[in-house]
Amino acid sequence: MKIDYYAYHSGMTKWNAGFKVLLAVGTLLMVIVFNRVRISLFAILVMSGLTLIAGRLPIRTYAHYLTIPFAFMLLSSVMIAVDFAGTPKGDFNFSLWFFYVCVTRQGIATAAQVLLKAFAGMSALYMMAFSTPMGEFICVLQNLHLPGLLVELMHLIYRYIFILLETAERMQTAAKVRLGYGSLRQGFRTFAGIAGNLFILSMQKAERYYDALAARGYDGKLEFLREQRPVSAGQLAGAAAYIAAIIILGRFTR
Amino acid sequence: MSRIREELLKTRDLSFAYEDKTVLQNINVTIYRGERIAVMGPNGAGKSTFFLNLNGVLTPGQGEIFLEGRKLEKKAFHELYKKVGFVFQDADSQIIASNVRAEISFGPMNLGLSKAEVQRRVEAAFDYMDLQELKDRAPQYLSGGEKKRVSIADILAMESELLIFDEPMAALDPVNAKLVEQIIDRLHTDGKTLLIATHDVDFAYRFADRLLVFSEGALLADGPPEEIFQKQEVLEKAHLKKPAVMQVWEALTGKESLQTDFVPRTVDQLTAYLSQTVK
Repeated sequence: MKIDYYAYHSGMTKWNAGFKVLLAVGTLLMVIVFNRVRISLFAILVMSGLTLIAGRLPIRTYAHYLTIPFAFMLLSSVMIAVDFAGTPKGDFNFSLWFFYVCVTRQGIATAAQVLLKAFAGMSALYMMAFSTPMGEFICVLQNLHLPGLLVELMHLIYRYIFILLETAERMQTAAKVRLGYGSLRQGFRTFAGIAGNLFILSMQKAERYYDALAARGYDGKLEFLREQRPVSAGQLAGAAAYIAAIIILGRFTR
Repeated sequence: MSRIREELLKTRDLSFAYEDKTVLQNINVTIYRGERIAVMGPNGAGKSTFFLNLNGVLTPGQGEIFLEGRKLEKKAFHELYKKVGFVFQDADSQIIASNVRAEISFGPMNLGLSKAEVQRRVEAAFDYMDLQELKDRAPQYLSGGEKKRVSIADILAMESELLIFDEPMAALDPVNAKLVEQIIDRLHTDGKTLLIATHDVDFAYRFADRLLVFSEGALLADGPPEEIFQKQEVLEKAHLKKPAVMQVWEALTGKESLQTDFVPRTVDQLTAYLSQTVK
């Protein structure tokens, strides 16, 4: 949820949303297609640079949000690098009782490649997530001709998630002050009560919200004014240079 | 008032029932252009249902609605939103978009206006409500007072002639409540017709030139506030009390307000009068 906050307060919020999505998805594709360490490194450098410098995201926050996916990536890379065998067949072998843990140079190289590729993809997606408010992202999907019903549902769900969370939080506080979480047993009971009440409250409020929509002339089509945010020449040139650099790195170097 | 009374909206014998529970019974009200009307009465008396009928969200079971003297076809009732704007009590139940600009554009977009016109109206609403700095914000990062301003701008952008407010000062802190009251005064000066539901008798007394009192689905009283606040049986039935300024004034003069030539409506008017007399 905090990511949502940063998306609205990023230095890149005002960039064209379609441009950012294209840049992120494009990076993801190129990194996978070329599958080379130097391209992954280059993408990590540029994408993190954008997030941290152009987006002005505090580096500590960025590091914090990277730790969880990074832990997973690291674990799976280790599994790629390591092999178990009855004989010492790797370049490095650790004898463990009756079997060996083997690591080959090849394995390490593959693991590093996979790790960097995943990391590059992550940094590209974070660049998008930390700079694109949900509403604008939904509009990009709309431009891609996602069915109108889905787009409207996404708009409404996104808006009401926050109201639901706020209400749940208030109920939780109210339960806490009455010692609703005193014991595990009570905690379960309180949780069930809150969940049930939230459901009933949601049904009641849905009616209210529909009235409010109808009061402003809603007739089954949710339409908003969108601000046109043209891509600046500098941004376009930067993107072109970035893609060119990746292609050169991928095709013309060994 | 020397102004010519132009009829804006009229209901004749309007009744409404939710399934078999009657909520409104034979409401006859004529609203004139430029009026400041306070709507009072306990919760559940039918105020909100009345508003939703005026705005076209609910269709009355029986009765007629006249817009600018013309009788509306039943089919045309839902078009009333074009003339009648409704600011809900809880701003959160009104706001649906993910940023302020999109939110304010929702009403005008539904009016089927051109992009340029929508843009102009949204900008005008920003200026009127002093929202320029918040236009790219998401509603979840706005304060209560800011949300209220956005919900008012929502309706202003639709440029309705009659504006309905459902308890506009509820749940606001004193600073924001005062701000909303100033906005309401400005809207009156700018020629809007205002219909405001409130439980605050002091506000109703200083704001309104006409009072509608609802009780159990019926219109209990309709008239100038200084008259209605004298009617003991109305006050009792609708659980209202006299405004403080009126009580003090009557205690001072020993007369009912109507029998004196000057009647203070606000604390300022009363204190000004007192300091003058004491000197």
